[in-house]
Amino acid sequence: MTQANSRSRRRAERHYTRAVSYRDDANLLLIQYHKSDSAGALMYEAAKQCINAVANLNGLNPGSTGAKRRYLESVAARPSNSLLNLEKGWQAVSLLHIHADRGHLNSSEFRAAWLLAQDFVDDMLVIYAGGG
Amino acid sequence: MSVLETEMHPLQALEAAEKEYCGGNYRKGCRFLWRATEVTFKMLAEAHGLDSTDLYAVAEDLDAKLILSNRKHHYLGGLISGKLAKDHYEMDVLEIYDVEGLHRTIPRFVREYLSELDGNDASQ
Repeated sequence: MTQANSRSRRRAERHYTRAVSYRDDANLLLIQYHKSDSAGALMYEAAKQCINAVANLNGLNPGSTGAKRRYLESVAARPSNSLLNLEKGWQAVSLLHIHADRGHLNSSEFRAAWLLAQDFVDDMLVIYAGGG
Repeated sequence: MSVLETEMHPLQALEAAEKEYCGGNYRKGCRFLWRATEVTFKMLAEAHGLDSTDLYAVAEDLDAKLILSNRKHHYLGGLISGKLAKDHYEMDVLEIYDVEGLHRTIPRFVREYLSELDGNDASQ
């Protein structure tokens, strides 16, 4: 694990702040305005910000979604984390991303993806709070 | 989907998925991953006396039984993985790194519950 310098730590804090903000806005869009596609798009952004926040704390800065995805695998592989849960969480986030573009999920599918995406973001924020 | 495919056991579907994945046929591989997931949930529903017409309701009912364990939304997560595989098969929406992830999570989930069903003697 690489140590973060002060610049990387500041970057991590910005990503963390955005992740929380996007997650909260996503919930607002869904609960108050029933906009599942926009809410899904924002939850996807929140998930990506979380990954970046944790990566930045470790002195890394994955740019592309592929790089974020691969970084997530390394986080999930740590003994303290659940590989299956983080993987499935990311898959739920991906479903919401597709839904944002295609609006294809029915209410049961959306609800399931939403619950798991929330778990994913919450778990990543806990990992961040624990020092990455 | 052929009649043969609809009658596939989940382990046969996983084997077919692996074969297609190794051959570079990622969408077809995902079709078999979804097949393995769908049949596993139908078998789970039958074993637990649940109505298998709504697999999301099945997953939520099974998760409710795990409420005191550390596996929040565990079954729902397994079903969501399968749904993502189905979406890729139908719409070609995933990058290779996400397809790789499905080939890790779905076989692990399916095998875990097939062994549980074997332990419960689900055939009765």
